[in-house]
Amino acid sequence: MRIPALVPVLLALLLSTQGAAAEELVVIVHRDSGISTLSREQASHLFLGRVKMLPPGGRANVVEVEPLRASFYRRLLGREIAEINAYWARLQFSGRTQPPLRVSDSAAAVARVAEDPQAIAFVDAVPDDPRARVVLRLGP
Amino acid sequence: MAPEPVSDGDEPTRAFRRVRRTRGIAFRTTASILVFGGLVGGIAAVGSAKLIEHKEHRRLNDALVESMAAVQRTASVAAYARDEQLAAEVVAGLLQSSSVAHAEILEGDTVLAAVGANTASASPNGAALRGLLRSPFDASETIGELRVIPASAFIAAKAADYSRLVASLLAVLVLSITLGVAWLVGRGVTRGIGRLAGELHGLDVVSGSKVTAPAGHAEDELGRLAGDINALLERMDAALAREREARGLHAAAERKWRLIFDNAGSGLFTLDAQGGLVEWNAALVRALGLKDDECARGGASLAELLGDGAGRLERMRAAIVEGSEAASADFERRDADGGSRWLHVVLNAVEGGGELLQGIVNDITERKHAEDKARAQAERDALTGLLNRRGLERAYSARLHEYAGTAGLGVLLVDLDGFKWVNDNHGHEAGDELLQLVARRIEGVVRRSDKVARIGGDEFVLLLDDLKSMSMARNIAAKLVDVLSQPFAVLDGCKVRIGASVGVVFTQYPSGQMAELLRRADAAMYEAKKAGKSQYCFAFPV
Repeated sequence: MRIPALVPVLLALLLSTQGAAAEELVVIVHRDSGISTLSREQASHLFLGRVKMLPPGGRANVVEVEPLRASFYRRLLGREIAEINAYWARLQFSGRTQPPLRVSDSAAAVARVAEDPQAIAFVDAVPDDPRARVVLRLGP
Repeated sequence: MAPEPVSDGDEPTRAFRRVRRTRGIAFRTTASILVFGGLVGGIAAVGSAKLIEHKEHRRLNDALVESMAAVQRTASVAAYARDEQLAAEVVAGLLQSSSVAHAEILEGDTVLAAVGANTASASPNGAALRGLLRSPFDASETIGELRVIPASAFIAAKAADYSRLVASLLAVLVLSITLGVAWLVGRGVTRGIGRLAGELHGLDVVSGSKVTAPAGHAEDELGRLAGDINALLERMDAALAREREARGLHAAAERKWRLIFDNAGSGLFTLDAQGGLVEWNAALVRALGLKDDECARGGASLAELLGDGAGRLERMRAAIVEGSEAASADFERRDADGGSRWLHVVLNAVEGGGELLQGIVNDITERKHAEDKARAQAERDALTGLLNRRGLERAYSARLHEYAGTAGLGVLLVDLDGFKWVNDNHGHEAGDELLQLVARRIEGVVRRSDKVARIGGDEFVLLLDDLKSMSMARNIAAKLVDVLSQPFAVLDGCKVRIGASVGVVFTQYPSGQMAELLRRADAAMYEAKKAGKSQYCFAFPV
């Protein structure tokens, strides 16, 4: 009789992750950055350090929200976080390409973007701050 | 047993005794194995060197490709992130390998990092290895290229080095095996054969010695060979012994026959195809009355020794050669001292002797003399010692056969006149004595070579040979008539007188029977008697 007892627990777990994933992730920049929208590819290049300049010019300051990284990269690239970490581990070896700044939650990321016209970050909800502009939406 | 002579022109005696070192089985076998091994080893080494060089070349290239694969991921990351530093690290890592001449990472058309020699000089054949770099996050997106130019010269040199190493190891291995095999063959087989051959070579067969199997070969083929050799030696020994024994027996038989031959009473000899003496015994020397040295010269002709001028011996020889079994004849041999010997010679063919003849000579002189004496007595008149009728006939036929001249022959028939009166009046003894006296007187008139015979009681015949003319016959006839008309003294001085009537036949070409001549002489004598006795009368020529 154990297995029937476990079924609701597993279902609950599944529903809770789905609940978290169900949230929309958005990429935001400063409203003065000159960027109105970004393609998924552009976003990928910026977050993975392939492109180090924002499209209008100037160095991009990339910010990651630690708890959202796995979800974000899965949605953006269809890759697991371990692959992304491995990628950065290789690049850190040379020291030339720096990984993005990591913050602990979306609020901190929004705050960064609000302060820095060169900043770009992903957060779990469209921010209230008028200085932040959503340039890419990654649906569930 | 004489060793098989080795035909070697320059040094015959040594070659005969000793096998040249370079011709020995051990040397040739070892040399053959070494040459074969060396050849195989060489071919294997050269062949393997080529193969190994090729393989090694491929292996080094494969290794290069593998090391490229190993850094491909990092290179992709470096290209993706356009990180020259990381790219430089990657290519520097690749260049650590000596097989790499040049390495570079391209992002798009941009060279992110390049190390090593100039592209052009490093890759004369342009055989660059290329690895496409794909995005780490999208395998379908090509973002650059990892390009490596192998250090071909180095790889080739390394492959060559390696192949040389393997080839030399192989050569050493083959050489070792070859030497090992050569040593084993030499030790195991050829040395044994060599020892056996040497022992057999130096063997004294007469002493009955044997060869021994080489140590350790008692049970194998060499042991069997040694055993067979010993068996052969024993058989040869036995055969030699038998041969010696047979020779001894033969020599004894030969001596026996020689003794018989030498001591035979008859002369024994053999003749060759030319009639020369080959062998003869002492009896032959005696029979021929020769001195030893006359006979001692080999091939002396028997015909000459017999004094056979007419070649009768040669005819006998020819008859036998033509197939007669034997031939015999009597020969009269005149000695140097004037005497003569009669020899009976029998010739036989020697069975299986080709044209060789054998013969026997017996001295029949005494028998011959006895025969002659008997015959002489049979042909003589016992009373007067003159020939009788048979003797006369023989003398006539001998004259007829042996005389070839043209001189005349006279036949005189003498008949005594008045003999019957003497016989009747003085007795038979007086008659016999008278006949003897008449015979002596007739002999006194004729020549030694003339023949005188008494063919009847008081009838005498004279054969006068070699008459030059008729007048010689006439003279003798006249003389006969004269001497026989003289008185005879018989029986102690009793004188008697008789006469003789003579019929004469003279012929230059005598032929036919004696009786015919006598008949004509008798007719002529009768004419003389009719004419008055004591005279002669010639027969009419035919």
